[in-house]
Amino acid sequence: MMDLELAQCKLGSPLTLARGEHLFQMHDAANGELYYVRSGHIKLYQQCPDGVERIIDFVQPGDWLGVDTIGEPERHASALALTDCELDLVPYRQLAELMDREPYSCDLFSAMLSREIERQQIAAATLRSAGACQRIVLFLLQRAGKAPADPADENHAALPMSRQEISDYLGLTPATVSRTLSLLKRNGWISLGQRGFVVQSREALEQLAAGMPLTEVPALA
Amino acid sequence: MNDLLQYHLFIVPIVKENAMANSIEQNNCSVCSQRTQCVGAAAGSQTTSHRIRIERHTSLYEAGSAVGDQIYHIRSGSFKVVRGPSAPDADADAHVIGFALAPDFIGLDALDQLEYSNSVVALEDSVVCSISWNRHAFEGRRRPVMRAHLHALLAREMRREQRAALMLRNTQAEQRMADLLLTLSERQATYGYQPEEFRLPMSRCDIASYLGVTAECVSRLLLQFKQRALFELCRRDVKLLDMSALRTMAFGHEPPPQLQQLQQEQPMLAAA
Repeated sequence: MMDLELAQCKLGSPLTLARGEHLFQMHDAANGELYYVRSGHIKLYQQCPDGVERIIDFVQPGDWLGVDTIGEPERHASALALTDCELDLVPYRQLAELMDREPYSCDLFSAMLSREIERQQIAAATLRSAGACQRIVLFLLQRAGKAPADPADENHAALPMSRQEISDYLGLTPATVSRTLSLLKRNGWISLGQRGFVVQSREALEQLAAGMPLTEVPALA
Repeated sequence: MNDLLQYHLFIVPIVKENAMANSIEQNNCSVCSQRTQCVGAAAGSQTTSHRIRIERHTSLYEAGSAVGDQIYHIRSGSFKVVRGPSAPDADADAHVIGFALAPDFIGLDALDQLEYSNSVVALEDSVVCSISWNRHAFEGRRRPVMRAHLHALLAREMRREQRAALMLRNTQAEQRMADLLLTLSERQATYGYQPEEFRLPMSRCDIASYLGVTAECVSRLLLQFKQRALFELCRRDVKLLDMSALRTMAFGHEPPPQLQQLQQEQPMLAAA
């Protein structure tokens, strides 16, 4: 809803980002600037003094970026483009003007922020409880989005991040991520492309996500 | 008499929602000492909120119950936020996903939901203000300052959740335990109390669930902390003895004083 309105209102100014480029870095002034991702993928991370990088989130098309620093003077994390990206730079000030004109958009915006909180809660909850395979499957299902009406219409979902980045995000080792992905592929539940995957059996993935042991989920291949 | 009747009509639905014997009274926001921290207060109305007393172990709301147009501001006390069924014997699927301590807000994660996905249970006798979200939002449309305040509040909540996930991904249970103790101590200091001495409002099981470890592990950690003279623990009464060692443990090294403020929100800056 919110993106629709934004598109209609022609809010913000377009911005492109090449793969490997930073949108902003930790401690940069935030200036109340928010970003709406039209296409491409971005990772949000913090750099520790010892040089280790900690991934906070992967941002997909349709997501907002920078909403977690509304009201703050500086960025609490860095944003790096994993692929070429198209963004809209939307100053919070401009959004506020829209909210003055269209009170409903204020509710939509608040709702979007609220959903974002819940998404982070779920990410943390996954880390508390789920085993390695479960975490990876939950991550894939989240990337794949909602189930299409016809299982044959499963879309190619992008996986633009490295195995190292996925393992960092899920609190696992890269070897576990690679091993689990190949196992999911071997059983015919997903097919893997170069920088993406296609869900082959949503049912199997959902059973795994619910915590069913690998051996009890029927393989397709 | 008329006033009394109106008051009654207004509170009945809320009482039903919180089936437990919790009392509700009308609030006068204009004389509230926490006015400056509260989004509701900016609405300028004297009766924006109602004050609800929640008894220990009863819930403010349950997962699956309908989301009204309320957000809650904790005046005193503490709560645990539980995902999944909240009854202690329900099953292992229920997880403590957070602790909310005064002056936090509750319900920010459900603004657009029809039903709550979490339960919020009081860890001790607590008092919350319930702020009518609709009225508040309505006022907010004409009061940009308040709207910005709310958005900043949502953003802070987002950073907190991001932080919780970061801690879980990258740290050992020991670090998370130290971090939890420091968080509680900081909260104590915010209220002008001794930062070193406080009472653990939550049970060992709640801590275990929140840290993502077993209850045995929490007991062992607490024992280790005690043996290393980091704190004294008598039942739930904590006395921190070595704050700097705890900070070193939580962040990997002792942060310079000017960073400590920042680390309340961004502890991963210095985490190793």
